[in-house]
Amino acid sequence: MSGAIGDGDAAGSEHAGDGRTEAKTDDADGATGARAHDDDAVAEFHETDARPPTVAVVVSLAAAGVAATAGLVASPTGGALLGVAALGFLGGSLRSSTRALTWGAAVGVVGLALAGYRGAPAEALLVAAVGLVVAWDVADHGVGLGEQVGRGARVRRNVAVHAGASLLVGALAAGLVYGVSLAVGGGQPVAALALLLAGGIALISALR
Amino acid sequence: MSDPSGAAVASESSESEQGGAEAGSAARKKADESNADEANADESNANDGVATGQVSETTVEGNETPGEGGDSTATASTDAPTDRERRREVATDRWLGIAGAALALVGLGVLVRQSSLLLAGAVGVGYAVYARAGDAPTPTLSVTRSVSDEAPAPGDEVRVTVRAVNVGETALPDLRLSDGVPPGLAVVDGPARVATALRPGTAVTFEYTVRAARGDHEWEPLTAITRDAAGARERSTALDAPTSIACTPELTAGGDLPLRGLTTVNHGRVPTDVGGAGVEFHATREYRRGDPLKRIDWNRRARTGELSTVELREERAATVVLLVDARESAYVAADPDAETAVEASVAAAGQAFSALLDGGDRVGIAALSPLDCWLPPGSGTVHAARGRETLATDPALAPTPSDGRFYRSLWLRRFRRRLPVDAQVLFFTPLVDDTAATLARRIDAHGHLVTVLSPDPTTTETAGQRLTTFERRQRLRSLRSAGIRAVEWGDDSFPVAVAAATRRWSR
Amino acid sequence: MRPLAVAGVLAVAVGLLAALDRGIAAAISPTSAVVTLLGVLGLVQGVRYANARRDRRRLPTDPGEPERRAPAAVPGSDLDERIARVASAAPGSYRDRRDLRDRVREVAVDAVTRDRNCSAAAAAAAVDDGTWTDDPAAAAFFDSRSTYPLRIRLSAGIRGRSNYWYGLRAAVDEIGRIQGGAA
Repeated sequence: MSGAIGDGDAAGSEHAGDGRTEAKTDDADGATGARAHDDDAVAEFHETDARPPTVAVVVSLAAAGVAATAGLVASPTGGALLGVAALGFLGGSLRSSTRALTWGAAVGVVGLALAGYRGAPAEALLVAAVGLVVAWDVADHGVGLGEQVGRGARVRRNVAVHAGASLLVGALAAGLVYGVSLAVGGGQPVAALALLLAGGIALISALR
Repeated sequence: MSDPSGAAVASESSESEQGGAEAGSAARKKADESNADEANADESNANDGVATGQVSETTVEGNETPGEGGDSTATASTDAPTDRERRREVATDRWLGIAGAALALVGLGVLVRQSSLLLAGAVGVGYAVYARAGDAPTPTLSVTRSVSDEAPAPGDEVRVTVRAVNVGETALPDLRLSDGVPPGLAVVDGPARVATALRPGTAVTFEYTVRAARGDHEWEPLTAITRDAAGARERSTALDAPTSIACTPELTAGGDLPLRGLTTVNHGRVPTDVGGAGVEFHATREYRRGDPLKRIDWNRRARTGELSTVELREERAATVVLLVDARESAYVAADPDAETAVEASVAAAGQAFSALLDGGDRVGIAALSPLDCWLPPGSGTVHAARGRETLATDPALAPTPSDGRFYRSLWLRRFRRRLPVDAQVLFFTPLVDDTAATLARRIDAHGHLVTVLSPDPTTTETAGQRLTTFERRQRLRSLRSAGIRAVEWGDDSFPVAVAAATRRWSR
Repeated sequence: MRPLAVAGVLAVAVGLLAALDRGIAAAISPTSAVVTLLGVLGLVQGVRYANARRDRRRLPTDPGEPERRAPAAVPGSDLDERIARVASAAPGSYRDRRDLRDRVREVAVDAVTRDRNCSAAAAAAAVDDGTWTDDPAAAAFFDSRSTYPLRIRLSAGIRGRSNYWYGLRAAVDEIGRIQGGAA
């Protein structure tokens, strides 16, 4: 029974796929017209669309939107910068530029810093941070997918798994540090933080 | 592999255990797709719950009819890992700088005494660890490729279905497949690629359509690019799943090809003094019973009322060798995506082959190529079939250039040794370099009638292209002034060009 | 680097302990200045490390374009590449220039021979002394004594191309005109 579902699933989606490719060719360059002439093989080939797949762009924008909203709750300026980061991700995706994505992420980090400096609550800042990283990660992943398999290929499951893993890591890390901060309580063990920071600097320097 | 069907059944059922666990995910996926513009599909767990051995057996047996209607499951999966070759593994450096950003946030948090910044920075550290943790897996895939038609006619659309099952132990969180479509074929529908994620035992299927073109086309290995979940490392692997199609054009009966003009004038088809069948008038004689109707002189009958029969000069069959230039330099076209001059030459040679054969001549085929290609002159239906085969699939006339160096003098020596003394040569070449012209002269100098038939691949957009065009024209002129007949054809078809040329010559 | 890593691990370990046990924290109790200094250090080093991304070189696997049929060469594209190589104003590539010039000259002589219906020697002389054409640039391409017109030299100087490149194009165009007339 589930087999029937599986089969129908496959068949249905393939038809959908065919229709879509056909339609795309039509708007692209009217290559379907040329296809009518069997002897005219010149116009048949259409360039592979190397832009990132739509699904990656959409997921990235959604995550960036969450980040910006969380940032706005904490601090208007910080939230605005995270909004700029979201625009950067959109622009980078449309132009397939990982450099633009990096700049977007950098602006987003500055937004996080600003929101934190203005005294944003930890919860909002954590959500904004995870949202920012996931948004950048999926956008960058999308650009890589565009280069290697193109926009026309089937990529949904790939993007879903990648975004899911990224979100899971962020949620785990945020949950862990949030739990620890709750356990430690309101008191500020400055010595512990200083030692952790010093250790972190030393470790990162050593491991580079 | 002594019992492939049994093996398939066994592995199918082991897969179906996986499939059962995924019944829910299938339903969810369906919901996903209903509002999807993406051509998502059947990352279908091969058998998404198709649990019975009976079903998988029909799958194995039913693989003769790859479905047109979207039923792509009709492929035998023997599920043995496909031979693979590791290509390279690299760090993508995607996450470079994340640790620095995290550190900067923590530092700022300490500086301004804001614990929330410390926490945000700590999340960054979490991602930095994530980026370092993984390693790009080496895929263990069983790849099967099936084509809807293994012997298509030129211009036919051939549906290609590729199915890859993860038969290894490790999950592949990020797998990109790019098929090795033969270089001589163009994909006309759908990219020949897919990106997905495969747990052990699951499969992905993708389809695309190629337009068949003359020749033997062999698929190159499928490229699999795998990354770890974070995408920090990337590995590419070549998976060899041999598939091929052979596309053999029909030889058109070249009845409209006026090749008589090409072959009758000189030696080869030698006019004899024996009256009989032929084309040239010899004499008339009294009608005898059994003479063909079309040789009755009807004019005289009308004039005098007597029946008489026209005797035509009997001819001896000519021996003609069709020589096709298939050196790398001949694989040229006015547009990178257009048919090459070799294709044009082979198509014209095919027309000439059947026209000459129909006219009773003995025809052979040779190629000017690093690879050896020689069909000795002959006649008859068996020979016709062999000629068709040679023109379609001989490696020397492949749709893309063959490797290897072409040695002119070596080739000429061998060609002359094989060429029958009375043979004439129809030389098909785009004439874009001096070698072709020189060879035409050399063969001519050895006493064979050479006719150069040249498809025109030149264009005149840039200075270099114009210069090449001028040089080719000059080559044609100097061949003609050396007494070698040359016909070129570009936009107009080969028969039209030949007709025009023979009219010119017979004047 | 190794001692640094050990120190880092130690510091992190003690820091974790201090986070859990106030006694240890109280025992260490760094001054506010030290903490601020550490914060600044972390910020600066962090920005520095993040900056390493600027030097990133992306070398992802390129599967190419399997959908496309192997593109055919366009006759003359090899010549265009050679012409582009000698197009830069930089001297050198003398041999390449001479070879190309010889090829153009051969075609030019042939064109003039047929156009004027004269002997090959006369045509060669006309080509060499520049009388085969009205175009000064085309004339100067073969005739070392005549100079390129000022317009060409200016344009070549501004665009960083060589006079040679302009001359070659002018000569090829001129041949096209002559052949067009002859045909």
